[in-house]
Amino acid sequence: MDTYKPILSRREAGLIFALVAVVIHIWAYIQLFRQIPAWVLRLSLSELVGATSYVLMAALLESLFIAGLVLLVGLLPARRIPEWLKEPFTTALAALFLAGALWTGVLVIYRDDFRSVPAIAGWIAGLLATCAVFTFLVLRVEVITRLWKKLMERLTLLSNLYLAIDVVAVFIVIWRNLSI
Amino acid sequence: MNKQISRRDFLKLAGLGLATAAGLGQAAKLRTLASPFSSQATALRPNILILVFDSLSALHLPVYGYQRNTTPNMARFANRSLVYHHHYSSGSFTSPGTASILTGVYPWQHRALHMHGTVLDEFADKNLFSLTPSEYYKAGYSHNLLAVSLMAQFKKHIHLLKPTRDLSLMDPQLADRLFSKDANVAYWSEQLALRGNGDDPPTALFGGLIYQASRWLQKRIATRPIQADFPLGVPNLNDIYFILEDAADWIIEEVSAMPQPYLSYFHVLPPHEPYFPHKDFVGVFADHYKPLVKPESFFTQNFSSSDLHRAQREYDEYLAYADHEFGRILDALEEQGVFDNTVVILTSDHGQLFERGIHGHVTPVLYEALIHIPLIISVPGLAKRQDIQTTTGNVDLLPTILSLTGQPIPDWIEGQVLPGLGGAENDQRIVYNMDAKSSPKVGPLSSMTVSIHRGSDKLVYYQRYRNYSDGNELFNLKNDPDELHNQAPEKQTLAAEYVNLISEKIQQHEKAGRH
Repeated sequence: MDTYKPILSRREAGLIFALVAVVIHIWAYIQLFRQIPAWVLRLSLSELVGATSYVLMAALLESLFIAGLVLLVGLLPARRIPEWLKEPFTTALAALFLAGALWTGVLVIYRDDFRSVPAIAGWIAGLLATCAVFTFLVLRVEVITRLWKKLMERLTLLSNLYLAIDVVAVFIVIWRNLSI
Repeated sequence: MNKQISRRDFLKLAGLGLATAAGLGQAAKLRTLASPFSSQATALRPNILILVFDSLSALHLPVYGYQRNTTPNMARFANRSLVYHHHYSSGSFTSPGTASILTGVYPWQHRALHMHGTVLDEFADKNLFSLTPSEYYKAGYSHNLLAVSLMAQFKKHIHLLKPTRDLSLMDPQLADRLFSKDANVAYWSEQLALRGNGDDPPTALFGGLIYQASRWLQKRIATRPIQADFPLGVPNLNDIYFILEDAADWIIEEVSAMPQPYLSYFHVLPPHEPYFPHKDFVGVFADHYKPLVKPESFFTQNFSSSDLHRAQREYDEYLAYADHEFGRILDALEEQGVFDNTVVILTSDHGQLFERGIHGHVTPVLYEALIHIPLIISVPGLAKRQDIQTTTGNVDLLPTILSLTGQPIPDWIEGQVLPGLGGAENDQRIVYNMDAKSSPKVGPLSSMTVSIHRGSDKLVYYQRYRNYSDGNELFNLKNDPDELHNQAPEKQTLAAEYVNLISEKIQQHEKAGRH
């Protein structure tokens, strides 16, 4: 009898989660820092810390949610995946996520420009092309495959830092709502 | 010859004596109260009903001389009221304007200087709701979240602070549902995380998109049934979609149900943009009226004259729709006999500008259309309309209400009791207005615009705007109501005197918020 074995191991799932968390947090920090000059003018220190905490808590929840969606793919049984894809599955999945994140960023920044059918079609075409290129590069070009794997390993450390800050943010949010 | 007093005579004398004593006592109590009140009970504890229409400029009301008949119902209300012809908001947008109404001080003191700005913590117990007598039932509502942020600071003094969403078609906000105790800070964060800030994208990369998609779907479901009635769009601001009829219905219902005496502050959004009137009002001002074209301002937003004229027409049509709903409220108040025991105040938080290349109210300028707002007050017993020409400010509402409710007026209040309601007319009264969005909330103010009105003089002072070299502006509003001729170069002494007055005030409050 075949026992169920997911395509992603726990370690690999952790690498995917780290990538998702880092991408989401880098974006969040960049947008947050753009607001700091205005916030310093109008908010007290307590309000500034509070507002930042809510934003980082949102980043944490978003990381958990999006990583959860991405990792649903990882629940696929290993026996259903073609042999040639089993070994590089994690790197391919990570590359697809990164391509998706990049084009999501484009959509968010230039949201006002994507209101027509041709513009949306162009966006979809760009997304698919980038997915194909990224996947090809990480699967076929050995140097890139190695570098990509090393990068994903290192991202785990960065994601741990972000998540630790998020936990502090959550405590600040809880404290603010209990003490006010 | 001594005459013995009969028992009957004694009782008569005693009764007379008691009545005299009671009358003298009442006369003493009534010294601080408004003279027009018709009954003792009303004089001591009148209901107070404040109706604020957002972005309502006095210059767009026929009561104040506007050419289009935008507000026949407000004119009807004016016929039974005190009409203040030179009433000014202290700020050019909702946060500072509303904060001054609620605290009786200018923005340099309360420091609600920014969009969604809040007042300094010290005003949590120094405001309209905290200072009026405790036996008053206090209620508040606003379509505009900027005003909600302010009232939320005072909520411990408010019996009913009705959530905006209760009178909205959809409200995608999460912050106040999840973090009600810290709603203001949570709201700013939610705004940034899910909606972004102006041109800046949201901090939630994927969450922002998911939020926008869900909001789009919610909006389609919520507004589809009424789209036919609002062909230009359903009224909204910051994703809050509403129809004014719902707010009017609720106000009518609430006024009849609230425990008395009450103090209520109801702030509705129209005619704030976007200008989406009911279909019955679309095109009602497709007329030949052409507003005066004025020279472009240094702070121009590059709107052409035709853009501004079109926007002004759309605003006027939206205002006519708002006035229609005000008319329904007015009819209901008359029917319920509310005017017999209630001070009804119609006003605004700021005006709206359609000139000099500028549309709206998010601007550093302080031209009349932006800060000259209506103030029309009906008091019990007022037999006919009275027109007050003295310059007044929205900082005057709080001390006036305190006077009407028999409360002492604290020294820190910068406003004065309104003429006609116990205050004196003074044609040399000075009223200020300011915009300081780029200044810090705490400490010395940096770049700002401050205007000063005294009699027919108006000086506009500009401080520390990059590349601005046009200097201050001095106008004589009696001879030059359109503010076309800057007299500052010719009347330098007078201009300098006003600048000194402003500088003194700024320096006096530069430590505001610092302890």
